[in-house]
Amino acid sequence: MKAGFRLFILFLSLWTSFSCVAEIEIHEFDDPQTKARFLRLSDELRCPKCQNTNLSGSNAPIAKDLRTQLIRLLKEGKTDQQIQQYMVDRYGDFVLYRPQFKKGTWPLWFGPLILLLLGLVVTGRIIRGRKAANSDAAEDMNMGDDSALSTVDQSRLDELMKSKNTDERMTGNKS
Amino acid sequence: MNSKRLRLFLPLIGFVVVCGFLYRGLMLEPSKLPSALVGKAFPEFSMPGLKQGQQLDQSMLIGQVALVNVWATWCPSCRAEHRFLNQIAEQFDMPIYGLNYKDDRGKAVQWLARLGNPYRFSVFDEEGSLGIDLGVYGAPETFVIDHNGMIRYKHVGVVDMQVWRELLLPLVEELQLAADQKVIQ
Repeated sequence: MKAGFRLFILFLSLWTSFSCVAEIEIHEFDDPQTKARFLRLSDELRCPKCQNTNLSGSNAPIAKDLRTQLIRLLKEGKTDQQIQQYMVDRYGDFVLYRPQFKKGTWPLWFGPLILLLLGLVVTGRIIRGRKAANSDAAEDMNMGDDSALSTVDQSRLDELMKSKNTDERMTGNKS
Repeated sequence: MNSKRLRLFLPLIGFVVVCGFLYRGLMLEPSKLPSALVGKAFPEFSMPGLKQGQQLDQSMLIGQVALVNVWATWCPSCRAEHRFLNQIAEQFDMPIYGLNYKDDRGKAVQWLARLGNPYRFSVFDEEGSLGIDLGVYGAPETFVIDHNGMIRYKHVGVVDMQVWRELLLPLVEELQLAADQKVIQ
């Protein structure tokens, strides 16, 4: 009985996890709009320490501090742009997942588009080149006229047409 | 015909260019961000010093070419760096100021008593707010400031002999020279 109880406790303990003791911050906001702004900004700002993580997803102490700053700035009534500028002034363009338009960042914005256009031009030229090559080859082999049928095919077609005409006459009789 | 021949080499050229970028990528350290504060004045602050009862502000950093070193007792690399900072402080007539970043005052004071104190003074930034104004995202970091209190360079990571000789010392000497020339004029 006692052994059974022990086993039961042991069994129950399998469902217990001790790993979920991570600190969870609780932020209180005056209104849902501020909360939404906080969530959006902390998603769009990048943690300078653990790179490729945003502020909202990072456990780094600096990310926590920056979240605290973010809330302070929101409470002070700063606009999104002012807040982003605050971060950029301190941590550089790196902190913005959506970089500003300026001299150094235009390749980021237009680079993909330029590459796409370049790709289209190159693909277009290759396709056109291939088409020209194909028609050249066809002419070379003297098979340019696709509509010409061989005599065997032509006679078969004539036969089919004839039988079709007969069919039509038959149905015509019935109706 | 000739241009068609050349076109055959396009993939090779592309490959070489990509290799060039990748090779460069091997040398980059993306974890070391360039400071957004280079070329700007040292941010204003008013904070206690590590020494009890000390009150410090940015004006106390201005006047000489100096290093501002961000350190903390919780930072193992700072320990590695500390001995070298002591050497610099001994050998060079250049102030090193400390920014004790998000640390425990008692531990920090003890650390300096035990390992030596290369700093003229240390700002005690318990909350890390001056750290944020400086764009600090870890420790150690070391700023070079000129005689006007302008930030000229930031080094992320340990300052060792190589960093000092190749990066910091040439810059410090150049800035000191510029400062001396201004005085003469």
